[in-house]
Amino acid sequence: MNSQTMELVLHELTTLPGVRATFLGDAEGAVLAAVSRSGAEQIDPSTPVRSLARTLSGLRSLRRSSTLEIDLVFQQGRVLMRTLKDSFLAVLCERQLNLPLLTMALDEAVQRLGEISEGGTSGRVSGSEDIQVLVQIAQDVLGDHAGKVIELLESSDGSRDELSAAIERAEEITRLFIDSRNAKEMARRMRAALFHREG
Amino acid sequence: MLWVSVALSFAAIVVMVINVVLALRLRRAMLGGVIRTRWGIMTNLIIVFLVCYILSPLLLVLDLPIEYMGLVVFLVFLFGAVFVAVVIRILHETLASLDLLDKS
Repeated sequence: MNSQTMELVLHELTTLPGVRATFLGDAEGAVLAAVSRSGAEQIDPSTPVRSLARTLSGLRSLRRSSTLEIDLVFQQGRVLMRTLKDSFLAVLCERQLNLPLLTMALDEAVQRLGEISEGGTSGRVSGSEDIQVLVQIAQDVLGDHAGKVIELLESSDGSRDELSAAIERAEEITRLFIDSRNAKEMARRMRAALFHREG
Repeated sequence: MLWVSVALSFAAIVVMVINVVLALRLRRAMLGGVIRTRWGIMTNLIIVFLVCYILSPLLLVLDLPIEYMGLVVFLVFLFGAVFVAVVIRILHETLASLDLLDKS
């Protein structure tokens, strides 16, 4: 990902009233970008990001969906989190603030970070390259009707296990709701592409 | 008493006509897949119900033998049972695809 563009997105979030700092971390707990409100106490992002990554990992093991929206409320503040494909965005803010405004801004930021990630250059997004290949196959087979399958593939974290499970679900959903004749063929092409890239 | 039956039958026909329109609209909106095929079966059954609903007051008004009315009623029963079976199948497959069924 382009770190300057990411920091710009985080900076915009940090200017919102009540926001103290914003962090972007990956699944391993590494800090990808961090911005603290100017003039306020600077926060070392490494400890909270590592801790939040562990929390996310635990929650992901409990929930099938890889997309999570979390709101942790503490006595002296709150942390809002959104998961991206292979990273997460966390906002450290006051306990009392304009939550609808922040939620809207957060959703927009997640969308922009997702777009940056898709066009990004970092090795961290290798899983998303597999997803793009699978998305292309879904578009080839299903054309304009590929939306739901693409959504399903993109909600995966890019790991082989999750992608295999996503292909299986995509096949079933396609068979039932989109195109029963081409569902098997689409899944076969996706599995072949994944196997080829793995090899 | 006859006119009460005819009025009830007329109300049923109106509701069923609305159902036919809704079912056809939904079928057109579906992208494809097994569920669309099954919905096609259900739409045809709804049309059969509508025909039976129209026939039944006619049989009463024209004072035709009771055997004809029995035939229409039991046809509705039979197709109703098939309809329920298709609904259960669709619901089962939909819930299974969403992973919302208890596998135990």
